[in-house]
Amino acid sequence: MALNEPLDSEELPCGRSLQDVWESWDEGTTGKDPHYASCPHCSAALAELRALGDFVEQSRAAAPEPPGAPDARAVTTRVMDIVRLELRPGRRLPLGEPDEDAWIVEAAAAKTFRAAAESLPGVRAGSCRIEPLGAGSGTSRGPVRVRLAVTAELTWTVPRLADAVRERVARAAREAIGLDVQAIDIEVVDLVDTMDTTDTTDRRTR
Amino acid sequence: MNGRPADLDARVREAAAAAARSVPGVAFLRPGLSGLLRGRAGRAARGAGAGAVRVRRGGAPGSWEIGVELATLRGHRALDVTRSVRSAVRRAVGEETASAARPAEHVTVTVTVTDIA
Repeated sequence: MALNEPLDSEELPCGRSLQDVWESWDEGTTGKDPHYASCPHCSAALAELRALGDFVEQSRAAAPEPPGAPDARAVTTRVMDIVRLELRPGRRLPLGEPDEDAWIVEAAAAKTFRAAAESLPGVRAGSCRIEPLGAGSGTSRGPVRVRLAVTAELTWTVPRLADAVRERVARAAREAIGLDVQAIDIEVVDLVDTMDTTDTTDRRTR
Repeated sequence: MNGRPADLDARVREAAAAAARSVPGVAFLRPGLSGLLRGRAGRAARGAGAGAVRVRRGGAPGSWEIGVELATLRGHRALDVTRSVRSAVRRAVGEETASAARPAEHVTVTVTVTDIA
């Protein structure tokens, strides 16, 4: 079922993508485009988005946000992140023992590993790929290899950074997921003076 | 033979979904947010997440294959949640079919974690 959906399944039957609809909503231009008023698919998507926005507003009112609370744009970004995770789950990775029938999609595990890396001060995670250790083994059950790209502040040295991230990822695999990770490759993409934190906020609040 | 096979399949699906949802650490069953936003699948999703559960009868009589896709909650180890879900679903399918013409004898449960929410 969903695992086999084509990558463009965010497209609505009218040909517009959910992203188009949401961007218009973000920019407040849905009223100017007659398509939105006449298209049942876009209207439905917008109605759901409004409902979701209301829900997020309520949650925000209930729980005090840290300084720099996200604006509506950030809310949409967060929603898009969730949707992307559902639409592009990646491969299925085995959980537990070889004779168990439990799995986790790559995107969910990668999200957990990125968050684990970013729990270190001044560290930001980028691309994260997870694959079975035995090459070309598809969805076979066995240990996996994690490749994670990170950027960090200059307070870190590369070896210290790689060790610390590796340790966090290993712990998350063991304690948060239950995934048999046998190799962790950390690629240090860049060391920077100070981390630009403006667009990490969304990911961290997830 | 008592009851129509399709009815029993639907009841087994509902029972499996309810069992999975009741396990601590399960956030929600798929289809989740995107299904909801796409509308058509969303209507099925509102039927208490049963759309996230696939039910198939196995080759042998009394054998069932159940597939569940779900999101777990952070703070719960995903593997432990899948183990609880698998045994809860197995139990629920057994109970639901207990009074059927052919009670479930062999139940295979596959659980896939699609998100840690």
